Amino acid sequence: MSLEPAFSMPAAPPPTAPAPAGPPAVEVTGVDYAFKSNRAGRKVLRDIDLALAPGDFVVLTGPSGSGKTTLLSLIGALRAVQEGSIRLDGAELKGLGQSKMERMRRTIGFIFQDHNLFESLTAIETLRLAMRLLPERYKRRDFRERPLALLEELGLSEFADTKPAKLSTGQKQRIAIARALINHPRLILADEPTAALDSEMGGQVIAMLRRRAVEEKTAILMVTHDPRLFRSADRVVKMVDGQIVSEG
Amino acid sequence: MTSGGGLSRACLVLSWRNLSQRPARTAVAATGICFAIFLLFLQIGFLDAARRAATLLFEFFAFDLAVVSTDYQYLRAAPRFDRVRLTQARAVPEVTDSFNISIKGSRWTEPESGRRSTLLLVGIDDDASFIALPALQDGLAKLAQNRSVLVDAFSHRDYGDIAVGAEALVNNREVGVVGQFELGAFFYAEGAAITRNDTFARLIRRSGRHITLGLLRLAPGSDPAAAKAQLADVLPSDVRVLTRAELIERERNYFTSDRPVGLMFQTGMIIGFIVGVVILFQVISTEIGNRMGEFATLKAIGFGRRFVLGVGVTQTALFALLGFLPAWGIGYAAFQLVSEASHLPMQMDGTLIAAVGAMALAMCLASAALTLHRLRRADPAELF
Repeated sequence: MSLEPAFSMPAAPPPTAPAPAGPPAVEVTGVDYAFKSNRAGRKVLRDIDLALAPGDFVVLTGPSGSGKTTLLSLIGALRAVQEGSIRLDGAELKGLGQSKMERMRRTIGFIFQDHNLFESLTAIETLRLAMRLLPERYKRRDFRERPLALLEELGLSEFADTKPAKLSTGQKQRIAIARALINHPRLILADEPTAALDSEMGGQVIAMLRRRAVEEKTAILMVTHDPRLFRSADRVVKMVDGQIVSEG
Repeated sequence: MTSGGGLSRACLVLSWRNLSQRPARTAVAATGICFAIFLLFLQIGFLDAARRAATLLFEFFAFDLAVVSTDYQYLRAAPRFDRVRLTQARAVPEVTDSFNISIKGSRWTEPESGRRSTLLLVGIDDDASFIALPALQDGLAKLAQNRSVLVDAFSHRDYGDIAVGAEALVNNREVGVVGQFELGAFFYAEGAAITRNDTFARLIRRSGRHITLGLLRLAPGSDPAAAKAQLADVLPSDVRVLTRAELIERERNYFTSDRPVGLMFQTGMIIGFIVGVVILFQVISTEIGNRMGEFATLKAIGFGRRFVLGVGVTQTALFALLGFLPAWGIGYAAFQLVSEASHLPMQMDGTLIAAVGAMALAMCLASAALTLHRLRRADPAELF
């Protein structure tokens, strides 16, 4: 059996200009975290420092239970920061109330391992619903045109009016990716986004995310166990037992 | 479009799409809710009809104030008082006219079979100016003949032949039917007959000096409340004066609050409400359980708790609406059938529709309150 990658992933572009001025897209400093249900108070994250500049494509990897998804959920404002600091575009997450955390999440594109689509909505309705989160950004015609353009970019234009029940797993995941991209997020948090895709489609999705990072200066933090994706990243951050053990 | 407007629309669209995703399941759920709301329509409709039926007789007469015994509770068993009180009442300048009504529970005997039925016998004065019902005005002149009565066309079939010219026995005395009117005295007796006060006195074998109800008419432009206050000063304490509205309200309240019939329909109404809450609770509970991941996703991508709760409440309200509309239609048809079969004055009017609508809304809010707290458990952090 060949150990060569079954598909070719786009490689990270060579470093070019210096990082843009302004705050980092993500700045994690000295973060510790323990689940409240853990009476022993065992920390699942310990002294995490991590920074992503706009346009960075960073892969987060490590064994199960190493704290990757907990870190992802903290950066995504899905959990409250307990100790340390997390800043998104310079804005501190620690101490934010529920509604401010909700508003913060609107600027992030989430790609979950399970597609988590709304079973009753068609692909285009799913994207329009996401656009309703930031209506001030859009004109009326954008609600018609932008979802169609994005679906076409992901090779899904023929499924615009199809509900998830009639789509393959890969098609569903691509629609979930489109939902994450529709509002031009400054940050994308992805949890095994290609796990459900075949080689070719996985390659296309990573290429598209890579293109977003370069063209729109979108910071991307992607959790994956798949070493084939590492070469697409600017950096690979490895976690073990709640700590970052290597970065490069 | 404002952000709030866009989100409201998005909430409505998502709720509707959730409902219409599985039409068969939604239809089954809506049928259950429809049944509960139909029960509400029936119970409130019957209660309302009972209230109307209890006071239909008052609609036959044109009056401003009524004089009743101080111990008056309801018409059928009203204590009598001396009719001289009406003469005393006319000492108040605003009172221009008075009218005597006597009521007595009696017995109607169908002469051929000898079958006996209960009868509400009503004696009235020979004064057409107090009569508001055209059929009664026409019949009043015919009552001049001795032993003549007008019979309620809605009387029980045991009354036998009640056509004009028919004969029967009232309290074992012969009477002749000279006309008909439409009342439906269901809650008082199996039928009703109206006669003049002099005939009434002969039929019940007592003097006409004591009456059940005195009606007063006031001079045009008079204030009934002020006249009532003056009458209270003039009349002895064995009688009291009520305005027309007070008399009707008192009679209706007695039937709905103090009599078993009112309690029966009110109990039915409460059961209908509880059945509706339980059905809605089960439907919404299942729906939320099935979509917990979707609600968590909504929260994760930035929709607020109010939006997520709004989807839940809107779905509940849409279910209630889906049940309400057919229940309204079926209820209307049922009212027609019951009304034709029983002559109960069942009316699907705006007040009734609004009352049932309000109860359906309350049903929906109650079930939402019982169910939607589960949405808090939709944890977006669990999605990663």
